Parts: sequence; structure tokens; C-alpha cells
Amino acid sequence: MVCLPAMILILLLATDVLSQSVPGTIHTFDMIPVKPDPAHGVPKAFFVGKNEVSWDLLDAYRFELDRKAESESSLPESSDIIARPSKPYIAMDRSFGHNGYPAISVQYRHARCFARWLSLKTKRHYRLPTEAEWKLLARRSQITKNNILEHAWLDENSDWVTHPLGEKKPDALGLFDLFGNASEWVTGLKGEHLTYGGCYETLAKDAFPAKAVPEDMGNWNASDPQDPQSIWWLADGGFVGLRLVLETDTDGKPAKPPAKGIEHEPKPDESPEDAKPDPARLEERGISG
Amino acid sequence: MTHSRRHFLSTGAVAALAPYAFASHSEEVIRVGVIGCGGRGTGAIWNCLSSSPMVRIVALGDVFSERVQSAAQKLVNEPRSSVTPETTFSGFDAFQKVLAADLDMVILATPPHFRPEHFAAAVAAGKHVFMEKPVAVDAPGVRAVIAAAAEAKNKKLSVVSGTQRRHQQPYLEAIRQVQDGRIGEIRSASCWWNQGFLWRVDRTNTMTDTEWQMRNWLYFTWLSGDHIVEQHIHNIDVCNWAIGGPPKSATGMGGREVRTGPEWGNIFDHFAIDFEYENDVRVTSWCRQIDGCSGKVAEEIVGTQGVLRTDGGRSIITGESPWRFKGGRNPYEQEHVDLIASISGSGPYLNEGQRVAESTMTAIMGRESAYSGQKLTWSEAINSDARLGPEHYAFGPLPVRPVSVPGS
Repeated sequence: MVCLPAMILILLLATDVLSQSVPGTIHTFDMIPVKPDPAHGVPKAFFVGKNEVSWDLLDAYRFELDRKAESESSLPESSDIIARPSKPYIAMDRSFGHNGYPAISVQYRHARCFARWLSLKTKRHYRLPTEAEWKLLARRSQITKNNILEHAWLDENSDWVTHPLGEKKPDALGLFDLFGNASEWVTGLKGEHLTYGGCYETLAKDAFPAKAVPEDMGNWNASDPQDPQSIWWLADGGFVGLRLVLETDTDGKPAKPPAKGIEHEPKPDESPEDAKPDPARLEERGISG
Repeated sequence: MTHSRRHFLSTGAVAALAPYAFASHSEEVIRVGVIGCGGRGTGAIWNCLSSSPMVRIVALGDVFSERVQSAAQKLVNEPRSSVTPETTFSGFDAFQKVLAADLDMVILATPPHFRPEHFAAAVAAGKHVFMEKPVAVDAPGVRAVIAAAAEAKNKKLSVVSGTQRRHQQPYLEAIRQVQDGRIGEIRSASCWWNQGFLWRVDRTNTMTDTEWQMRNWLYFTWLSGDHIVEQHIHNIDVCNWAIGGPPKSATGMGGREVRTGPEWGNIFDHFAIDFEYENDVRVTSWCRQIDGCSGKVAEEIVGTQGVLRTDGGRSIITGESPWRFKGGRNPYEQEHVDLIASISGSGPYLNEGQRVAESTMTAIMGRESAYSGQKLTWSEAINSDARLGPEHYAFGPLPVRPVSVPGS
């Protein structure tokens, strides 16, 4: 139930909300404008996803539904080298729920590759938030330790599962689930892989004030029994999802993706073999638990 | 590819031990050979090394030489490996050569078809055994494993199988709660392994029938047992564990709806089985490997006073006496920790051969019921003489058995 003041708030905000369609899919999602805060490391305005990224959208990427749907692909030529996720060996939605639920169990590089795919699809520069950006969202959310459970699915109210996106009250910016449901990948100042925002297993007292939980591959992917382990999925990290931001130009309009070598081009140690999978390597991947 | 993370990933005490600590008690070394060096076999090497400073890897074997070489290469900088070209073996007889090496323990991680023969040979050679699940693909194989497990017991050889939920704290705690009566008397259960497609290797011009099938072993019943046996055994095993033994009968159905091309071998892509246990307890088992469908990998035990739900790392009981638990050590390491403790005498003696054979048989009974369309009793199923696969192994022509059609 969304209360009346919140409805009004949403309507007020709606004027600036950017509705993004994804060519080749039936999906649209909303991006909310955020003013800069140069004093706290956010020199430029940006847009941020009203919701965490849904399974619906991630499925379009990982199952190449965008290609299947379009005989004339809207993707530029360079998209041929887009890496698509490997086959996971368990149900990565943990059977919590799928369509309309936040995508979870994704590794940082998976989240980045998704953002890169989306950028190529939409011709806009999507990426993961910086730490400063995420903290700014948290500050402007007006969420406190007293009202957090009205806004966030956490240990106390989640039954230890994710919930459909947008069911809790939106925060003061109009964002849903910032402090709960799935944790969200964020890029640290030095490129660290961080997560912010509590998840369905986080206690409210640990979720506010928000603090970074650094990537912990030792534990989050410990029980992937294969060698090599998955470089896409988190066998034990069912709580990690993502929310994207959209860069703006100096005029405040959505920015185009960089012409060459998108910022999120996988680093040499992360990817080349993914783009053109080696069958033997694929065979070793993700057998069956 | 670095493997250092494997050694430091666990939160357990062993991770705190430097890899070199074993040198001061070199008399306590456990010498380990590996038969089957694919993704899981190689993964098991790191799990085993992480489990105890006593472990040394000394010999490797696989049908395919490049697999052995790849695993050996990964061990080049591992101080606790003494693998040399002289202790790496390939071919169908590689297992015999590994077992002939100076070993205390062997990891069996080939496709399941070969497990009964390898396990029997390992026990005959006096080796402790870690063997991946499932442990057979047919009833004759199950009977061979049960016989070898009994021989292992006589010889005081430790045997642990890769049904790692038996070593996973959320499951151990949950089953303890069930045994202590928290959900009352068990009335029924359900279990699921519903997921999408898995990997597949395209056939090349140089591949013989045998090589093509072995490189795609998941998709041939003679090699994997079908996915109900190869994968869903984990969840079926949890039900057998909670209930206290295998079922009396199975009535199953299944088919091949999406993976219909010859490249997918001859297995089904979905099964649903109604298992009947003593005291009118029923278990419904579901497994599916089809992309784009709802996924679920979990178990649910329904009692007269509550319901236990388990899904890997968490256990939740609802009902009259709610309870929940999550966390614990990586079970793929813990199963090796427990095995090493059994071998060294610092923990209880473990011989899981019989029970993993029974859970394997439960899954095979479900498969055979679905393949045939007939209800099968335990005694009919386990006494079957239907053996899968060729009598002799060689690279060359090997026809694919037609996909089973229920009712025919």
C-alpha cells in the first residue's frame, strides 16, 4: 500500500522521471534524476534506477532474448563481442521469485557486463553507481533507523527471501528498496567492488546507517564446486543484486556511451576468454553441484 | 587462473594454518590420488588440500590426457603436490595406474558410470575413498558399491561421498531438529532441482562416438544416469536422510520436451516422481533442466506440527515451534575435513558407501519408473540386471540407445 503523501510525492517526481525502453525487448524501466553534490564527491547530476534491476531485464541479457526477438538487431557491430553469462548450476533466483523480483547472485563483473550491454542497447551510458553516488542517495532518502522497516525488506520482515520490486514505500527520492531486498553493487573510489544497502538477511540495526560490505568471493562463491569457479554467478551470494545509474552530459541530458572502449570494458584479467568461450573451459564450468 | 583463493576462502580453523605447517609432522601425511580430473575432480583437489595440512596430492588419472595435464599444470606451484609426469596417467586404465601408486586415499570423480568399478578397485587396493555422487547409473552398479562398502568396513577404510548436504551445517542442524521432534511426525516431503540448461560440447570431426559421448557425459544415461540421478540425487538424499531410509516404491513420469536434438544424447529434461515410504509417507520429487522456467533447488519436509524448508545454506522451520539457521563452513571442504578426521582417527569413522548407494538407487528407481511408465518396487528396482553402457571401453563406434518412451 502506498500512502497518499507518497503518491503525491511520486506524481511530483514523475515529471522528471526518464522512462527507458530496451530495444528488442518488451521491457521499460524508470530512471530518476538526482542533483549533484560536489562537496561529497558527486560533481555531476545523474539518473538512478527507481528499482533494483529485475530478473526480467537480466534474463533478456543472459538468454539473449533481445537477439531472438529481433531479426534486425539494434545492437551495434561491437555487440558481437558482448560476453553473456555462463549457465549456472543451480537456480540463481533461489526460487524466491523471478519476474518482477530483483536479480540476485550476480558477480560484480556480471553486473558491469550487463550495464555495458544495456548501454549498447539503449545508446546511453549506464553503469554501476560510485560509492559517493550511493551515499548521496542514502542521505537524500530520508530513511532513518526508525522508519527503515517501512521502506526495506530486511531480516525482520522478509522471511529471508527477496520480494517483488516496489512493494515497500518509496523513499524521499522516489526510489524503492534502496536499503533492503537485494544488496547493490557499487564501485569504490579506487575501483573496489563494494555492496551497499541491506538485504533480506540483514538486521535493521546493521542496515542503518548504511555501510559498505566489500566483495567477499571467498565466502560468496565458496561452494561453487568446480575448478575453474564461475566468473559470473555467486553460488552463496543470493543476496547481491544491482541498481544502475545513467550518466549525464554537462547539459544534464542522458550521456551517450563512450564511442570506444566503454568504461566497463572488462579488464584483461577478467574476461577475454568469456567473449569467445573455449569449449573445454565451458565444459568444465558449472557441472551440477 | 590462481588457486590461492581456494586456500584462504574458508572461515574454518584450517584456513589459518600455513600450507607449510604439515612439514613439521610429516609422519602424518595423507597421500592422495585423483581419478577423474574434470571440473569437479580438480575442484575436489582444492577442497581436499584446504581441508587439512596433512594432505598431499601424489597422482592423477583421467581418460583424456589433456585433462590430466591441465590438472597437473594447476598443481605446479602447489607445495603439497608431488605429482610428476611419472604419476600422471591417461586412458581407460588410468584408474588402475593411480591405484598402483603409493597412496592412502583416492578421489573418484569420473562420470558416474565408472564409479562402481573404480570404488571396488580402490577398496580392493586398500585405499580410503572420497567419491563423487552419484555412485552408479544402474542397479548392478549399486549392488557392486554396496558390496564394496561392506568390504571397506571390514578393512576399516573410510568412505565419504559427495552428497555434501550431509556435511553442511544448516542441514545437520535441521535434521537434528526433525529428529528431536520439532516438526512432529513426518507425513510427507517434496524436493526439487529445477534449473536451466547446462554446458554442452559440440562434436568435432575428429571425435569418435565414444569420445563425443564422454565429453558430453551428462546427456547419456549410461554415463550420467540422467539428471535425476546425476543432480537431483542431492535432494532425494535429504528426504531419505530425514525419513530414515529409502522408499518402498516409485511411480514416475517424465520426458524430453525441449532438449530433443541428438546433440542432447538420450536423457530426459524433466521428471516428476511419487515415492512411497513406510508408514504412508510420500515424497514428491521434481527435477527439470529447461531454460526460461521457474527454478528451485530445495527440500521441504512436512510434519504433523511444522514444516522444514531447506535450500542449501539456510534451514527454516515454520509451525508450532519456529526455528531457523544459516551459515556454516563450505560443505565441499567440510566433507573432506570429516573424511580426513575419519582416516586419521581424530574424528568418528565414516563409511557412507551404503547410504549413498541407496540414495543413488532411489533416483535410479525413479528414473526407471519414468522411462518405463510403470510403478516399480524397491526390490524390483535394486535386483534388476539391466546394466547400462558397453561391456568394454574403447574409443570408436558406439550407438546411442534410443530415448525411452513410457508405456512401450
